[in-house]
Amino acid sequence: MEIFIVDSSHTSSNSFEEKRVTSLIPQSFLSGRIINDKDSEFYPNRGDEKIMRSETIAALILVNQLIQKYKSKLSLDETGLFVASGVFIENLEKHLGHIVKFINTIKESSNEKEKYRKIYFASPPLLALQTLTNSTMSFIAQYSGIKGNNATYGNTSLSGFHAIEEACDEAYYNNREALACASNCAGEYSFLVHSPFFNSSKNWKESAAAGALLLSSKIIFDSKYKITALKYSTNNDYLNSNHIERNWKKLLPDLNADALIFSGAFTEEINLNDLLYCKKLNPNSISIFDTLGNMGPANLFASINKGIELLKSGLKKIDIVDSDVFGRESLIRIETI
Amino acid sequence: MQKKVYIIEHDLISPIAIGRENIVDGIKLNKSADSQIKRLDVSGLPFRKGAEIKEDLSKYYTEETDELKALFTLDRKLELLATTWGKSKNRLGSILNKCEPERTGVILGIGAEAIPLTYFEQELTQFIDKKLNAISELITALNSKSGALNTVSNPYDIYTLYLAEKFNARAFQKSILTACVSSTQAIAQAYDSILRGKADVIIAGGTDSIINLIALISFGKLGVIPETGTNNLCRPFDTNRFGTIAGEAAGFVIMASQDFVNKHNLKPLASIIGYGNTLDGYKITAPDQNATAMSKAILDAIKQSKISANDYDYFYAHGTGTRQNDSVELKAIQTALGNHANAIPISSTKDRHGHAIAAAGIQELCILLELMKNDLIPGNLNLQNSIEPDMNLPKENFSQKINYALTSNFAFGGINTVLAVKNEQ
Repeated sequence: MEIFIVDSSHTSSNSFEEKRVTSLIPQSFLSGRIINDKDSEFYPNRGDEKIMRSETIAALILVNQLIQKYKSKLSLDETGLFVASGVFIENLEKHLGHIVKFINTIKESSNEKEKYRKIYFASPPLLALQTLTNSTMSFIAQYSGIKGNNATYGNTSLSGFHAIEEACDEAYYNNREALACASNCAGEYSFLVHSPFFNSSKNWKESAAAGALLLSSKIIFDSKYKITALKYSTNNDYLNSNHIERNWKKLLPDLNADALIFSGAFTEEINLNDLLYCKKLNPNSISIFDTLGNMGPANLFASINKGIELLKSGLKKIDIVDSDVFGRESLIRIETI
Repeated sequence: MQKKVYIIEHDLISPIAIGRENIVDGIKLNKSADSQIKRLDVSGLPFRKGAEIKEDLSKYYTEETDELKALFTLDRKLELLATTWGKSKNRLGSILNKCEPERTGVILGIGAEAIPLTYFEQELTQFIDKKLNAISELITALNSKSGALNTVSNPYDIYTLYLAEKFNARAFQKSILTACVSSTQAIAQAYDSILRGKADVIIAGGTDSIINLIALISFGKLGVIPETGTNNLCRPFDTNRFGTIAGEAAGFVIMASQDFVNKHNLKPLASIIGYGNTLDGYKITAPDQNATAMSKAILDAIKQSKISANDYDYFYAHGTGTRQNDSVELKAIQTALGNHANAIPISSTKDRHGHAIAAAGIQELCILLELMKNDLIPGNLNLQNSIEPDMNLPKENFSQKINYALTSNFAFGGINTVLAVKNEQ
């Protein structure tokens, strides 16, 4: 299967800060967030903005910018949209703070009925929408007009691979253009979810991001790059062994790529180990971790963007690998046409 | 000629039936699970009822590890999934023996996370007293003692990992998070994956529960759960409908390629013969009143099935009982089926088992398989005054062979997924 990359776009965090979310973990972590351009012509209206996370807005803007370029050649009613999302809580205390506040306010009260009545009436009316798992996909559809086959996958980094794979399949088997997209929230809650899976959270780094790929099986879009391999692995032993070992070598079609871009680490230590592993497979191994940290489902999209830069500079074939928090790995090979 | 994608097994844990063998009796007896919620204190909420599985499920997962059992008490979705597995595993042994791990995949629709804060009220108040970020402290404290999985706040993939381990499914493990169509899309994608040769066997389904404080508040605030009063029954397609019933369920179907079924001489229950899956692209808070994408999803399913619309003899509707959904859904059916829309029996069963959100699709497909087996069409239990009197919205159950059925689910955010199903029994 060969699928043409019509275009690719990625929004990275543009503001990084050291955060410490709990007294129980001594060290802070580095967290990146996206500050969106409110002057963008695709910035959502105020009513929608209230229930959107920053990375959802970023995804919305970049997809609309992509679609704008190709609108005349796309049938949006039939264009596929496959999205991968990371965690769905951008600000934990803000999201659930009302419940804590009221538990505290009436902690002396033995009247459960009154307690829950107060919690109910203190809860924001749009609580469900703020953490809706398909909000990135639905808002993209609402603002872009894409109405085709679709799904939202979540929420480890492997879901980014599934979104790209399904978009490729839509292009290949159904002969329709398809958009793969990822949005990663990152932040405090992501740290709380993911850090217990590792022995140490020292030098932890993650960031919010959004990425999109417009894919087609046709060459009518003057594409210059193509996806030539998609592979992944599973890890059925995780629940028993809690053991992760890099095994990217097994996924590589060969060792002939001009560069290997890898992701999956949340800490500098793991990233360094990954680099040592990858250097044995390809001396030109590159990590996006150093600049952006882990971006969850958006990892692969950022790496593909980086890979396209390398292809533009004259390289011919790039392998892109990722591993999720459960040790499930994926590979995407991109090449010049 | 396109090969078939069969359903060879299924099971369901639902408020109206623990296990597939109890589904039809529940329907025939017009059993409704709509009753006072017992699992948590809802006395202060404006509504007290839900479709809750009240049976103690722990007897179905006695063989699980203590670590997992502890997780089940805090994660209802995982408990429901483990129950579905525990209930059916002995029966599935003969099929499991035939599956090659590398050719077997899992795709599940998963509902939104609900941190069980009220379990930890005391701990939360202690953190608040120390002027700490209470929720962050609580999550960290609970997870610091965890094993392979967190005690609370796990990635959504743990459900697929769990079932993949049970089925030794190594081809893929995908989690779909598209609210009320999650498990319907899981089945649609399993269909595609088998046709595309990516697997011989796929376990497709889902798990969800909105019988928890956060979800009840969230859905209550959206106005989709009727407040306690005299007229608060879930009444799909009724002029006096005020909302749905909060529900919970888990289930799966085992889908297999035609070659696998032939090779092992299996008797299929049904086949998936097509699907439609569209986006409204309209507004996140409401379905498109013109029902354009919804009707296209129905038409796409029919077109892919290569069966004439007139040959479909049952439309198993999403029918939530909410003001927003039901009238638009009937409009979509009218647009897609034309004259046949007034002839085909249309019913929803959410008035019996509630809305299981991400597990709605699998719950209803499992029920449909049993309806097909028993030549039974369920009536709309609480329907009194139909919003479309010319359409065939039966109030009573009746006996009729179902050869071909359409089953629909529509999600918040404007996602429309419809499956075309052929009875193979």
